[in-house]
Amino acid sequence: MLKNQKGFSLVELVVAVTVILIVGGSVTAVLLSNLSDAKHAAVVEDVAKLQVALRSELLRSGGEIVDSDSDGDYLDELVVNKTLDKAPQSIRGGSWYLRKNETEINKGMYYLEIECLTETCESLTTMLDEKFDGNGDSSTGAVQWSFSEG
Amino acid sequence: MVTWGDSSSGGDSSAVEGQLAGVEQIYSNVNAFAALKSDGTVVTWGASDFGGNSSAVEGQLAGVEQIYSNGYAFAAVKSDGTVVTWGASSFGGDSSAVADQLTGMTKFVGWRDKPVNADEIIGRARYEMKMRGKTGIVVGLETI
Repeated sequence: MLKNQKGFSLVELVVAVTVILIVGGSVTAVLLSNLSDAKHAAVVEDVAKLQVALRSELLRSGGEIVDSDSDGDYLDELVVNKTLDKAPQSIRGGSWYLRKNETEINKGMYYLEIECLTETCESLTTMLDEKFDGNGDSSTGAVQWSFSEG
Repeated sequence: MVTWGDSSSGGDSSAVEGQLAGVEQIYSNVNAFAALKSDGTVVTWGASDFGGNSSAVEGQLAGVEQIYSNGYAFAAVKSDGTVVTWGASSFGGDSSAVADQLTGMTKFVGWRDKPVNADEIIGRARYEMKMRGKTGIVVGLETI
């Protein structure tokens, strides 16, 4: 006499759930990775825009941007002078500062400080380094980074 | 170099294909392109009224360091601080009226020719950021 086999056995259920978890996990990982890449690309784009705005402001001002509020940051000057439509917003919880350092060789060097959460910074460095430096080194070149301890 | 789109707006670059080697940067306006090459020369294509034809200033387009554009014309800043313009004359392509003022323009050294102490300056900024307990990235943008 044959048994009435309705439904799934425990083994079948375990296999099915395992497969669903593996496939679902992979899809989620890919989606999150794509989302993360898109966010990082937005940051790189913001830095590139800022570089163009900086050059425009340098040309407009004859090579000398005045830090009108003496806060040591020139980002607000670019916005006030309308060479940049708004300060970059692409890093949540991050802060951007446009600094200038006087040099002996040149009139000045402008650089961008991006403060960000460690996990954001870690994954951002690769894209920024590829775009603006290319040496992949955290302590030499045009793009350098440092993570606080603890 | 690969181009596509409306041929009258620069989508077809076959006429200058042989010159498009060693291109470092491409600039554009609404109907033309200008390619800045590593040797400081410029190749243009697209609608001639918009700067796609730069033959009138061809002899001057050497030692170019930077190109700017609006919708209708181009302006090239040269290593000697002079400026060459071409494109729609009523939209900046003809700068003859201010030619005597277009000298001594700011020259950007840029990071490809960064000064010897560039690493040190960026490194110092990175160190100071760390001392403030901040996690961050420093990006050198421009030297002048």
